[in-house]
Amino acid sequence: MGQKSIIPFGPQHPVLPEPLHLDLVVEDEVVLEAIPQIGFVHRGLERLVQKKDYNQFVYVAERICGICAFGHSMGYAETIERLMGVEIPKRAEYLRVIWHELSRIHSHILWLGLAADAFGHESLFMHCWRLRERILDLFEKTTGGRVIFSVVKVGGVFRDIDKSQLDEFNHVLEGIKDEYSQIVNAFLNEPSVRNRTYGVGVLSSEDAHNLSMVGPFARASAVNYDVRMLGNGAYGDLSDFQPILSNNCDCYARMEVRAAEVVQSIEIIKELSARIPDGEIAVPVKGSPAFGSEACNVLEQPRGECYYFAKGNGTKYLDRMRMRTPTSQNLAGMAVALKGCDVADVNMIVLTIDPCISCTER
Amino acid sequence: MALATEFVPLQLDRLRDTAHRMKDEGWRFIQTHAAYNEPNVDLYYSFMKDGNVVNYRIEGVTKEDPVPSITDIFLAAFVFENEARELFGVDMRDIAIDFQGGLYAPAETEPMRIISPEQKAQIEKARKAAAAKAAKAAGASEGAASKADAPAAQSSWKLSDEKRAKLEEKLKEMDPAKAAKVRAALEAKEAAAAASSKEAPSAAAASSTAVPAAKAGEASGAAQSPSPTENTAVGEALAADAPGRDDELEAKLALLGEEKAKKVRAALAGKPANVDATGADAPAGHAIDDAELEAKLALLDADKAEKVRAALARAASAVEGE
Amino acid sequence: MGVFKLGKMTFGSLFKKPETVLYPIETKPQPAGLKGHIEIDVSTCILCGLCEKSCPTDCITVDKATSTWSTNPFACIQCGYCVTVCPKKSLSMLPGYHVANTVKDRVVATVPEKAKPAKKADVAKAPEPAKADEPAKVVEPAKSADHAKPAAEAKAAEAASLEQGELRIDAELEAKLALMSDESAAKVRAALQAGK
Repeated sequence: MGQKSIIPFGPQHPVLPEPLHLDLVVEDEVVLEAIPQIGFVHRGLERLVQKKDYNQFVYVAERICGICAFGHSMGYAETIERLMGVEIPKRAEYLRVIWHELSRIHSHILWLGLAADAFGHESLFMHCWRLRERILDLFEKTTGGRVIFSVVKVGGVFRDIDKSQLDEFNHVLEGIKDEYSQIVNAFLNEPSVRNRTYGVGVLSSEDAHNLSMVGPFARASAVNYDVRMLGNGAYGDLSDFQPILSNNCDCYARMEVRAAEVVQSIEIIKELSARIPDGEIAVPVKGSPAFGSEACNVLEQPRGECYYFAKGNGTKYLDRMRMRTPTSQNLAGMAVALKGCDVADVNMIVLTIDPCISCTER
Repeated sequence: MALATEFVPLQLDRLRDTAHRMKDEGWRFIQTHAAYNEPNVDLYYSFMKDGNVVNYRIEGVTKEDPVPSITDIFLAAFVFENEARELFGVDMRDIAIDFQGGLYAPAETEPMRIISPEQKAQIEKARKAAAAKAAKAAGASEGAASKADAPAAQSSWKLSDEKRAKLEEKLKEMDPAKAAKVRAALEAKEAAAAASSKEAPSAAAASSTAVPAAKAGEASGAAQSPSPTENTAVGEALAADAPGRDDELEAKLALLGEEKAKKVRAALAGKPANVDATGADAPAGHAIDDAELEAKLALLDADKAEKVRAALARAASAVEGE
Repeated sequence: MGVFKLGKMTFGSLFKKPETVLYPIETKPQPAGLKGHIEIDVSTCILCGLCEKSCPTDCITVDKATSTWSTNPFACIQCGYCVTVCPKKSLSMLPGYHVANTVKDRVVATVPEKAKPAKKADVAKAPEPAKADEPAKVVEPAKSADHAKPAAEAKAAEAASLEQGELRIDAELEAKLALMSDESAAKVRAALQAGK
């Protein structure tokens, strides 16, 4: 029997994309308990809503996170539209969803690259990020930005995607499919990768449900929940949407789910771009949110369900804006999944919840 | 199934019972957050099941009220409960993973409780406007019974001058649609005033007379006047004059009946002559008008802005003719 | 299951052009809609200050006294909100990033004072303003002419303020008319015409 000791992990650690600190209580090589600690990059963005008016805050919202930037601006705008009772044109809904799914693809490919890096597969990492570059180029052409797009506004979107650009979307996405399938093949079938991920960091289905986990992390533990299946906005027009689930509950399952979601997103973009209606892309929004009005909204970000809450006070500044991001929810599940794992697997498990600490702390 | 959201009030002592019930019924915990509702804090607990989001709102939690943690039921709440304690000063008890105030370790204690005087004034104004509106709406629907409510609505405007009180009286005699128009116009004006007060130095915002003066000073700056004392003299006179006229004008505009239109005509008839008489002085005034007008135009949509511009051009040529 | 799943891709990339470019010798072409920097068309700008008010990072400054519009490219986040609120469409977001620099300089544009008085000159018989196509320097005489005015104003501060109040009402009236429904606006306008 070894002696209990505490290993501090993070906030600076090669595998962590963002600052998260864990106190790992270990005995021999086994983690008995992991206590998460965040709070290194708190920026007070929820407070900033009282200083920037509700139109300006779209740009603040999308700077909450660099990877789910589009999702945050979309979720925020939808919340304000609910708050003020604004109905946006159908075409704007479609455009938002197309961009949102595109950013899901780029986020998941980025994550796959990070995962490859975490278990030490350098060339796989580079191939992933090479593919992601194609998606960023699509963003650059249609929105004018590569990471932060600034195309969403309360009441619609600023820019339209014309027919030729939609065709280019589909062309590029078809083009990466072949290379992508080779990469996924390496992830899912390479023995060295399997050895590092199979049966590691198990979070049982009951735990995932009881802890209210969200996103691919939960779906890998067979929790049948994806905000997209509620059919908000253009998601309601999809002919069929089934969340991608896995019963394995381990790191391998999380990789599997994310890998399959990229293909699913490509299909969604293909379907929506084929039936996108013509028309306006924005409606004018006048006035301010009424005094005491409240609204909430949920949106499926690449990392999972994100909850937005807004409260108006009759001025153009909001009284309170709340964004509950997927990672803050998943931290509890991560702490549970870490129990009983090897110290060497900690980085892999932490990474598979796809932590986005900047989101969590805002 | 589409997303359905609702907000349900809840008593603090029912919190843990409710959390237990939600857990038993298979609801998913979404989040907890606090919102500052001066002088206390509102706590929100959100749950979801099958596309229904229920937000339980616990109103008026004071600093002294101990709030039991629900982390033993839903562990995921630990981040949010720590956050509510650090940023809002909510007395959270027994959090499973307790950071002891070290989550964000903010430099100021309870930073989310701080509201600047300007913000407070703005919110207060909006609150009163909303209250007056609600009282008015209630009054309109209840007919005769509303007369009892009316003084309350009026007293809520006590910040403003007597003219405003008179206006309120007039509003009550009108039919609801017209009254609504007048109110909309008033609100727009208030919003503009609020915006300008924000620009003014924070000290100026404290006293109501300083605000128009600052605004006028800014406007005279646009007219490129060199002397600050003269600016203020002109500006103050202008500021003192304008609000009263505005109120009258708005009331008249809202009435818009045939007879009332005559009143508007009468009120405006004298103006072109004045413009001619003051020749040299007018440009300065107009520079102000133009800047403001353009700003307002920009807020409108394209068609309407076009209309206003056309109307202005007509007015201009009319004056020229005289 | 087998080993070396990436073999095809890895060997293939031996014979392909590299994905990266030899920066800075080569640069990536910038697409037309890229958000690089803001540019102002001073010939249409009316110095209304809406861009200043709407900017989320407060990087734009509109100075009416000196007729200048300036921006701090180091604070600008290329959101493009100013471009969408500009009533005269004077602002545009163009490709081309602002180059790195050792000092945080500002981009300053001087707005010639022409377009503004065109309307007013008719209404109020203002002193001859600078002509539309003359450069900004010519603003100076117009300015000094303006300087003389306030002195006169000060004398008759009371009277002047009355007229200015009326003028303000005129402008505000028009703005409000635009907010009303078409019929009601038409009524007021008819009344106005009759009055004149």
